[in-house]
Amino acid sequence: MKKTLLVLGILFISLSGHAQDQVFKDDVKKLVKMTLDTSTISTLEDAITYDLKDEAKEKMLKDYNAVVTTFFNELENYYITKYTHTEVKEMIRFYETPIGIKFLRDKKGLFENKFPNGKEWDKKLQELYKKYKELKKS
Amino acid sequence: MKNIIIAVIVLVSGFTANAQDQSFKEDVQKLMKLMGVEEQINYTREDMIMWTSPVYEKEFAADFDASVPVFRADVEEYYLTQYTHKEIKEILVFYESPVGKKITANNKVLLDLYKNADEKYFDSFSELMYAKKNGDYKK
Repeated sequence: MKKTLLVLGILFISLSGHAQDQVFKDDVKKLVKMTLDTSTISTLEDAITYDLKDEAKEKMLKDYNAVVTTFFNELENYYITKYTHTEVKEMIRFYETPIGIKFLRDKKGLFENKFPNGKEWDKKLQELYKKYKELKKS
Repeated sequence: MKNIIIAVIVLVSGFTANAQDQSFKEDVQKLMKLMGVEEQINYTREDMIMWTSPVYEKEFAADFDASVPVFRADVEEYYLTQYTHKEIKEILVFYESPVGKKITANNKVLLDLYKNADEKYFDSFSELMYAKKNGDYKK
């Protein structure tokens, strides 16, 4: 009887631990999706499969989603290893407030220099890049 | 006497408003530091220099460095005009929390990781498009 209770206890703790890990992973997935600009990903899905049909389209979408998943996994692993679940929940809590939503909407463009809105730095940098590309050719 | 009092009130209001504006600007600049604007500038500089011919590296660096104050000013202006001082203070409260400080301390780490993951994504995506061009998806 004692042994049965012990085994059940260990099983229960292990299942709870596993469930908590999954909740942590789900929150991290949510955080990564909130903080990244993923608009290009869905646009590209349509762009790369517009001329494919049925099985071919399905296969290409599957392969493309595998590429996207790998990208997201890298970011998710970063948060899982660097932050505790409590810290991730705090970040989500802030980013879900009205000011957090507003701030994130603008900050998302920073990593791609598509910021600030209306005077995006990447446009000026493109001109610079073109200038030196032309110089390189000549 | 009345005129003197009015003049003093106007002067005090002017100084107070100016001090408030200054405080707003300082908070915006503080936010820019905490959210990783400088890390993004440094990364972009290194990345673009890599793509520039060594022959033009000095010239490019000079042009790039000249664009940076304009970028910083644009970001500052954006926050000063699109956000209230109260909103900036709310964001600063988050960045000054223990988790906010941790985010700031790891701005560069996250940026490097993001760029690395983005490069791998681009390479894999290119392979996919190459395979499509080769007719792999029409078989």
